[in-house]
Order: sequence, then structure tokens, then C-alpha cells
Amino acid sequence: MRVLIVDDDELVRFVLTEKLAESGFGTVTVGDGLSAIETYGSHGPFDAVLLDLKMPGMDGIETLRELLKRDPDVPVIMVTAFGDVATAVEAIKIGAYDFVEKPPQISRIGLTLRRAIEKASLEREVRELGKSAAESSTLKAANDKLVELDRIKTAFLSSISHELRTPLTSIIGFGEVNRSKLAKLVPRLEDPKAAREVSQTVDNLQILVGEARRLTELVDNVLELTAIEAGTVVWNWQPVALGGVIDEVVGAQAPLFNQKGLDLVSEVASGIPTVRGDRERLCQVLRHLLANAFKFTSRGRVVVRALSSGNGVRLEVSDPGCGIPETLHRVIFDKFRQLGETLTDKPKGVGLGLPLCRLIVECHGGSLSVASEPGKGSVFSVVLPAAEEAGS
Amino acid sequence: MSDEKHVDLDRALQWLEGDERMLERIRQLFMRNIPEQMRGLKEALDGGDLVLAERIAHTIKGSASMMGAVQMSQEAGVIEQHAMKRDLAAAKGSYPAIAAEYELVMEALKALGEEA
Repeated sequence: MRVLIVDDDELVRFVLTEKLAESGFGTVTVGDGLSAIETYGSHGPFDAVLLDLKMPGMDGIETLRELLKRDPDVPVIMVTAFGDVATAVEAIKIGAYDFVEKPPQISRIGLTLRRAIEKASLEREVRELGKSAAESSTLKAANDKLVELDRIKTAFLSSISHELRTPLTSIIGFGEVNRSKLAKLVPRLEDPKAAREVSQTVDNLQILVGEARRLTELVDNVLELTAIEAGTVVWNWQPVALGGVIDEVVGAQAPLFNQKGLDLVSEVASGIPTVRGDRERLCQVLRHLLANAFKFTSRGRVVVRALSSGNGVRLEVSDPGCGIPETLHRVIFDKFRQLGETLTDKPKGVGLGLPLCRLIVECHGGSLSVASEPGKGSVFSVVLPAAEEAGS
Repeated sequence: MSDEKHVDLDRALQWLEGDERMLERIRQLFMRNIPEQMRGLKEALDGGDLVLAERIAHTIKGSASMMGAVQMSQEAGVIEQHAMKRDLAAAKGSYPAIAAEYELVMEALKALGEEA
């Protein structure tokens, strides 16, 4: 993905170039509007443009107009001074895709760029399908509406998730208290029929609490997904040694696996590079992949592996469990499908875990994929880029 | 730390999402570029070129803000405003403030380099 960066500030150009390169973007940078137009002509087209709003000479708005004249489809993201929303809105009316405020939050820009590029390529596909102009504009209107709905949905989900979480805490708390009270009562009941019925109620309460816990996890995942997508999550970036992550998570989960009669082992190759990431979120990803392996495996050995891979690290979780048919390999990472199936069908896993894992991994500039066949187990692979050599 | 007032590193690190290596590199870049910008600003003001002065002040404002040099960024913003209104006397009058702050910022940044 090639991005043209237009900013009069060398510091901004430098940081954006370096950081976006880490996330897999190629960049060309220029310092003013006129050069932007020239460069677009000589080196374009680009997949997206990051355009500073306030520049000397030809300003951002004028540059935006000229760029769109030359390529009406290129997504342009305006970089605006803090608080200059009025001009940013003007830019969006002219045809900019979105805006981000200075100083530019890198992970936010990466996400916005990816989304903009995806949308532009969808629109291109629509046109290439040979639709008539009228049909295409109807589709464009429909697409714009969907994008808008997606924004509203994100805001809605985030507020409703908080509301859902509060009553769930009460349900789990009281359910747990009642279950343990009743369980203690059972041996003291003289009437065997009453004892049986109370014991049945204890079992039912156990199910109730378990389901409420699962629902809480789902709600948490919704919250986290929407927060990451909305760019409101605070990332704690630091150099992370995956060996330590694996030791910590595997150590904590191994007893649970042993109880079920499963082996959980880790194999960390020596000399694997450090990655740059949010340690807690990487632990979360591994915990989730292990929870899945645990659920779908009834016997045998689950292996967590870390090895060097190209210019990065590959983290694998492989299980000898029931496996996943190929038709579902994409679907399991798709948040909408997951949500739908979790709420309607008899659920097997906690919904949204894998879509969340994938989003977290992608925010690290990595990828998450699966190789699996029914009956032959599954291997989930996380590939993360190596952190650059630390400076002096 | 004594440099806290002139350079707020936490602020700079916030938008760099905690990347200290990047912070070090923009520190070096800043120290390399800003002296030239400051000279340019002085010359533009002395020569009465307010268009150029506005442009340079804008750049200094942005760079200083990224570096966490909040006070210096604000001083540059003041000159930018005056230059935008083509008020040469006011722009010139604001120069000593940024020149003084600039010295302190550079001192603080230099000290940081020696620490590392």
C-alpha cells in the first residue's frame, strides 16, 4: 500500500514515514501542496494521501481540490491542528475521506488508512463490474449510508455494552451465592426427593452462572473491539519478548489443561527477535487461542511454538482437536458472522474472540491465520514483525 | 527535572505512543533543523518579509509542539498570528520571547542527549 504524505513539518514527515513503514505502508513524502500535485502526477496513483490542512503556499484545501481533480477516487485523510474541526468539515464536504488531529496518533492513522483504502478499492470494484452510471451512484449512495451506519453502530455498541455489563455482574454474584447456599443444604435434607430436586437446582444455577460469565466475556469483547475500531484504546507499546508471554500464559493455563487430561507444552526457539507491542494484549491473544484449543480438544497435546519467520516471529498454537472445515476458515474471524451465530445458534465458543485477536494482531502490523482440517486438528498462527534494533 | 518546564517529554511520548527510540531521533532532527529555522525567522523579520516569517513561525510552532516544547510552540504561534495580520512591529516585538525560550529548549534537549 503506497501513501503520499504531504506536510510542511519535517518532524511529522519523518515520524509518519517510519511508523507507517513498520505497519507495512510504503510512503512518499513532500513538504508542500504544489510538490504534492507534481508528485501525484509523476509517481501516482497512490492508495491514499495524508494531507496537512495548514501549509504555507498552496494550503490543504486547495491541494485537496487539485488532487481530487486529478484522481477523484483517491482517499485523502486530512491532518488538522487540534480544534480546527470547522476547516476539517469543509474538507470532508469537498471530498476528503476523514480527518485526524495533530499530533497524529499513529495507530489511529494506520487504521483510518486501511479503512479508507478498503473503501476505495470496493468502490473501484463496483465500477469495474461495469454497472451503469446510475446503478453505480445508487450503490455509492448505499455504500455511504452503510459507512455512516457503521459509525453509528460503533457508538451504539460501545454505550450499550456498558449498560449490559452491570446487570450481568449481579446475575453472576447472586447466582453464585444461591448455588453455594443450596449446595450446602443438600446433605442436610432428609427427604430424598427434596434433596434430588434441590441438587438439580444447584446444577441449574451452575449453568446459569456459567452462561452469564460467557455473556460477560462476549460483552467485554464487543467493548474492546469497538474501542479499538473507534481509536479510543490506549496502547502500551514496548519491546516484548514473546518467550516471556508464552511462559506466563502457558504456566497459568497448564493446570486447567491437565485437569481435562490434556498436555500443554511450549517450544520457544532460541534467538527469536523481540517484537514491539502491547504486552497485555498479546497475552490476551494467546490466552484466547489457548481457550479455543482447550474447548475443541478432548485428548492429546496442545503445543505453543515460537520461531523466527522472515523478518519477524511466528507464534503457533496447534491442537489435535476436532478441526475446522475450510468453508469456515474466513468466517471464524468475521465479527458479524460470529456475533450472529453466537446469539442465535447453540454457541460453542465465546463470540468475537477471534475477530478481536485478529484486530489486535493487525494493530501490531501482524497477521493471524488458521490451517485446519476436520478431524486433524488446527494450527492458529500469529506472525508479528520484529521490533527494530533499539537505538543507543 | 529542571527541563520539565521547557520540554515536556511525556507529552511528546504520548503521541509517539511511548516509542522512546523515535523520540530520540526526533530530538536529533529537531536540534539539527530548528537553529536554521530560527535564523530564517530572524532574517525574515529583519527584512520585513512577513509572508516568509508566517511560514517559518508556523513550522516552528508545529515542530516545537511535537517535541513537547509547549512554551516555544506558543511563542511561535504568537508570531505567526502577527505575521498573518501583517503587523510587522508586533511580530518583531514578539521575537525576543521566542529567542529566549529557544535557548532554554535547546539547552534542555542537549542535556537529554548527554544523559542518554
